[in-house]
Amino acid sequence: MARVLNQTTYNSLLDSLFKLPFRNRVQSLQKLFPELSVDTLKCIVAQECQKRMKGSHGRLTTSETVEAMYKKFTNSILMNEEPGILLRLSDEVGLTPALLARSIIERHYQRDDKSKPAKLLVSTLMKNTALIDDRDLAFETYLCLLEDDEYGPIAEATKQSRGYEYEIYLRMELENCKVSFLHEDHLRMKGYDKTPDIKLEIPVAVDGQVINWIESKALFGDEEVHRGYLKDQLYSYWNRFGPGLVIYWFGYVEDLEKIHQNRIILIRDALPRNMVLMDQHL
Amino acid sequence: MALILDLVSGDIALFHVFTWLDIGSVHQDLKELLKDESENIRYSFPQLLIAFIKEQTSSIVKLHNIHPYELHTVASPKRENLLPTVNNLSLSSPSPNFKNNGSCQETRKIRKITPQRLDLSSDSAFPSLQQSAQTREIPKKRRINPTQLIESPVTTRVPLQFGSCSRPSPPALGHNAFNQAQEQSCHKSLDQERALLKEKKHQITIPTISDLGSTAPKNWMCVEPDISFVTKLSQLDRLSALCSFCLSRNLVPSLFSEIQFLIQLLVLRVSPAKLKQTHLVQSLLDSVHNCVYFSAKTLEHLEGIWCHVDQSVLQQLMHNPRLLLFCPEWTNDKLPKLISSITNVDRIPPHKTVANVAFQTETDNRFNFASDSSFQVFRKQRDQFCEAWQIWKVNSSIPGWNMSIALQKMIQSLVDLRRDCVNYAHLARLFRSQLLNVAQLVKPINELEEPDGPLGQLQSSDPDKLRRLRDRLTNPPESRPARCVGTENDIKMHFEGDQEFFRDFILLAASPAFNEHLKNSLVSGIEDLSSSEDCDDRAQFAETVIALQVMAKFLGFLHFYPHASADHLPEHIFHHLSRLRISQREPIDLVSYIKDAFYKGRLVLVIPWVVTYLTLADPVSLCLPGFHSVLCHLIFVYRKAELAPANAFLIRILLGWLFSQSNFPLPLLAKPDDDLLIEFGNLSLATTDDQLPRLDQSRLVDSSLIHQCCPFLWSWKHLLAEFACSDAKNSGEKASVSRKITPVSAEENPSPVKAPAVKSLQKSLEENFFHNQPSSVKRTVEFVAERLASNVVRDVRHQIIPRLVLHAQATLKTWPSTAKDPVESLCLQLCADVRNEAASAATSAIASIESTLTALLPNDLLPPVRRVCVSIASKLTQGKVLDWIQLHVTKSLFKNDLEVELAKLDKSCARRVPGSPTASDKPQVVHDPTTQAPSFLIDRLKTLIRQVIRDASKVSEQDLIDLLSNCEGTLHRRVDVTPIVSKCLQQLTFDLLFIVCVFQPESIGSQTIIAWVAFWCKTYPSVDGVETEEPVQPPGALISTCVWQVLTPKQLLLLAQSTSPRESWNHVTTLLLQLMKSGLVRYKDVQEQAIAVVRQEWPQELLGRFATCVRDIVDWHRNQKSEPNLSTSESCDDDGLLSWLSWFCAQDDL
Repeated sequence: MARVLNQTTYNSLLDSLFKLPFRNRVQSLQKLFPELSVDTLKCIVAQECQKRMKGSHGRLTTSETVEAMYKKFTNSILMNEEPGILLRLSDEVGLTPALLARSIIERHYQRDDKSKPAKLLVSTLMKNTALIDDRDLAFETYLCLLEDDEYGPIAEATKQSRGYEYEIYLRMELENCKVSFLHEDHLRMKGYDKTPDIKLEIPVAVDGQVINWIESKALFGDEEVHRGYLKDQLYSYWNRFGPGLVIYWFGYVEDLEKIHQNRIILIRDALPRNMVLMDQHL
Repeated sequence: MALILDLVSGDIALFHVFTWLDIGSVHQDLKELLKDESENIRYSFPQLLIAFIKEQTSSIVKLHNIHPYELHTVASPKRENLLPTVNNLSLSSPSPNFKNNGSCQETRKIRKITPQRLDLSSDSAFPSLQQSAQTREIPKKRRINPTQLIESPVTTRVPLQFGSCSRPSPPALGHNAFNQAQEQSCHKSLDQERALLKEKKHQITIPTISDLGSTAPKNWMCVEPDISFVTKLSQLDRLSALCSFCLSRNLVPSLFSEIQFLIQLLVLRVSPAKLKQTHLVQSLLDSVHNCVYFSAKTLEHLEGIWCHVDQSVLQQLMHNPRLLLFCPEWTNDKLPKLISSITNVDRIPPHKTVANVAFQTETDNRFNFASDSSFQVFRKQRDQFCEAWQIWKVNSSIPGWNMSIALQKMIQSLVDLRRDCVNYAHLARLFRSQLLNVAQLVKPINELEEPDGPLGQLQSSDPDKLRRLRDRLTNPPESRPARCVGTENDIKMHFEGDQEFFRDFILLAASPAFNEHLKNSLVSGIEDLSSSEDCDDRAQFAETVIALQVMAKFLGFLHFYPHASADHLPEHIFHHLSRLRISQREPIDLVSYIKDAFYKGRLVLVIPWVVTYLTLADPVSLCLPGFHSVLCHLIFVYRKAELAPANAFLIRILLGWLFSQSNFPLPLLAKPDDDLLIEFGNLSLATTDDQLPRLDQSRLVDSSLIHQCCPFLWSWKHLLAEFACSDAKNSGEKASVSRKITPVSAEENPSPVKAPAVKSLQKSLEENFFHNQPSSVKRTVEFVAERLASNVVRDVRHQIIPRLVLHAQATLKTWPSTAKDPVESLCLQLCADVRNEAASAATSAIASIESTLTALLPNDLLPPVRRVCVSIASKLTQGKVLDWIQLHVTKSLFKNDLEVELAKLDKSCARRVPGSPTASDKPQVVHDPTTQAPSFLIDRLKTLIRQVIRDASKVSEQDLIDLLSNCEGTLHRRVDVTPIVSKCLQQLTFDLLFIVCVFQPESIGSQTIIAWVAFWCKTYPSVDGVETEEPVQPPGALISTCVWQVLTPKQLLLLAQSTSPRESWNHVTTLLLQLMKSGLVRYKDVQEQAIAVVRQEWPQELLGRFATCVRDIVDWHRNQKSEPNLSTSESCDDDGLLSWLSWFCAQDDL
């Protein structure tokens, strides 16, 4: 199953994505692009959702709109509506369920002066909804969390875990290949200011190019994502350690390497099998 | 003058003259001529000789190029020649009315294009494109406008100097960074001219390519030299012998210019028509034939020079038709031999693949910063600096790109992001490293590229043109001003290529603090490299020389830039400024560097950067008393230093170049040796620390390094190449452009003067011991000690200290809270512990010294000697480690860590019981890849819960058993489970079990709940027996954040939805009881939960079941209390409250 997309495929995929309703988009896309890996599709959908939220979250959670949504919610409770009130409201306003639930909780626990409650309190309640004193809000929130794949403590934990799992996987693969390296924790202990996932203590060559470090990314590398990482991480690594490799485990759009111009940072969707190690015989 | 004429035409044996010049003894024959002024004349003789030749050639040289507009340039005072005037600049193309001039009558008809021998500043490299369509009377481009010169106050000097007229390129050759400024200043009516210029620019029609090629018809003729026309042969021979003697003995001030002049004489071209019109003063060198003869003979005798110049220059000499004619033996025999004997190895690594400045833990990690914030800020600074450099690299060649618009903000903000000496120092170091990195990447100019094709041919025939063509493609004239920062009238020090970025960075940053740190960094860099020991290898040496030059150039820039002026300084201001600066200190003690280098035989390393630094000096500087001594030292070195031939050539050509700078106070050059010696004299032979390898006699320099250090040398080749080209074909014009010197910078750091310490006898014994061993022995011992000590320190820093601190932090938790200032006493304890451990680490490191040294020291060393080395190395190692400990292992090192920890503890009000499991205590887990990935497991649980709640999907008992084993596998046999994930799984598994209890009680087997609780117990051991976490919460918020919430409103709401409430409640009660039994939930927690429940309204049926549940709990708790071995706190609990609650909820009428 393909994970590396050319620009045209990627564009047409995005086009179809925008036209689909919010639910079950992965399944619909699978039918349209059967040759693509499901994980890649999931990843692209998730990233699209995050991009959308980034753009509209502020607008959808002003105190006025939250107040209106909260009113609607309490009304529905009074009207004894079916459970799933917040989920339906989420579809209606365009916030993801978990983000909506969070706003409602914030409103519910607002202080006497109408300011927002402590962040810590809210995140504790999101993590363990049984602690919410209002039984209906607690249950509704829980339903939202179960439905949301992008936001909320469960989704966050999944994402974080996935990233770490691939990191560990990469370390093990490298050990299997007899590549010697330092990983993030080592580097941090040694006081490095920027720490790639893997810093090769002895460089290796991939497709004729020497690399000195590897960064593992458990997501799909589109241009926006990649530019963000270049700015915050990859160029910093290049500045310090020279050429390196970034792995987007869920694939990437072809030709992103062009962005780097003369700074060599390879992009792959797996650990290359053809690494050339330094000759250590005498 | 008369003296020289007498000498040349007389018959005194030249041998006597040479002796006189050499050692001052005057032969009888000579006495008469010299009268009584022997000593006075001796030192000025070479300059007189030059002036004489100059005078003799002046009339004919004036006619060179036979161009009417060029007449005045020759023989004008030196300073004027440095500046472009319409006369010497506008010559580069044939003018339309030119054909008339060139009507030829000479017998040897050779078609020529207009030769021009004069410079082109980089701007005017290809003026012909636009000029060919222009008439000559109107100044066209600013760069060729006439410039008026005002005599500078410095010009108390010999007015005429041999060769001065012929400097090919004002900005390039006479180039001192400020000339450009003078040029600009010299426009009297700049604005007016600009207006004209603009107007003219509109009229310009760009010639097509065919125009370019069609210069051929514009031919003209010139006199070809013929050996049979040479007159006064013997006098010319004598003059030539005198001249070559002076040149080869370094008696003339500037070797470079004189050879340049000789080459110009060699390629002299005079139109016969012009010759006829002009009345020539009778002189020795009044004809082309004589000039060429004199030049050829003299050049031929300069054998010592030709072996150091680039092969391509020799090729040009060898194929020069005039030399073929006048010195057939030289060109046909000796030169080819010479060329074949030179192996021209290009030692600059072909292309460095690593273009970034590597992060080095030694210098760049957190330990090199005073605080976290400083460290974090520098991380940003480093990235932004690199970003600015990348942006420049990508964009600087784009026309219209303006660095100051694009980068000024970024640069200014990054430089002053944190006004802190540590950050400035780090940034300066980064700047320097990147600069040196780039400098080493510069490719040699004569590198061969594209050997085939038209460009390749151009490369071999006229590489400079190729360069200009390239320049023009990548950097069209209009875009040039944009590349430079600042306004047009700004003073621009000349920096080429990538170095422009670094200059402009400094200018745009405009940060005095940064400049200061950069100066310091450069000075220390120069000091380090000047005393560098790694010069054994030629490549290494070349790298060092170039790095030093670059650093000196930037130091000079930083130091002299404030003194630059775009205006020409009137005399009174000049004197005022020099008075102001009379006691100004230089950032770097050049005199001591020069002296040191002289005595230690390292001139070849030091002189190049000193010269580079000085070429950036402003006119006022060079006249300051502080510089007087420096310049005298340099002149002394020029005359007296003894070096291996190539080394000598390198430093003499550089010094000669410096002496010919317009700023140079010429009277110094006529000083007798003795005066100079006084300057040198006050230094008794330096004996301090004589370990550095002597370089002056080593064969480290080759022609490629010479040309890299002295790019202006290419102008010889350009002169010859241009002549050859114009001679051979009728192709387009040729221009000679000489390379610009690359000035370098230096800094302030007086060479360390050692305090006269009282040495112990042991110390002197040791000193003597090393003195009598090969120097490598000492270096090896010191090196080994250094490395071992550094390893020990590293161990202390990264292993011992973190371990002990961690331990201390743990101790802090149990430290009696009554103890006074626990941090202070713990710190003391830590210091002692670290010192002890470090000492023992040092001891064990020393154990390996013997074997290490045995492997590294010379094999023939006597065993006792080796033993001494081992003991010294051990002592050194221990000393270094101790020094480090004294300096760094102090209370303050730990204070921060401990205080932070203490604050954390205070916050949570919980001093925990010792031995609570921490991550490090866990047994090593062997990763089992067959277990389910945590993210997969989370996803599965989540989906399952959703399906049970929303879709009423069935979960079988077996499913639950499988899930349990999957969770165990994931949580216990994987290394990629993070704390957050673990916590999330805890929550999800509990939720799932609870929900199955509620919605599908039939799937719960007899052992299901017990098994799950056992699993939680094992995986999430509770921190029991502790007044647990009651985090600071807003009032009315949460009671407990514990995961195991059974009787909360949400759970009751779920229970209310159960279709078989009785079973559901049974399971839930069991679950709660199991949790309490295993200690995961406390009785107190249940009380609180229950109270929260009854605050809300519930259906009576539910309350009834709730009451039953609570009663079961109370019963169980009563039984527990009757058991003897229970913790006191728990047994004290009153269960009256819950009993009452249970009774209350069971009332029907509620």
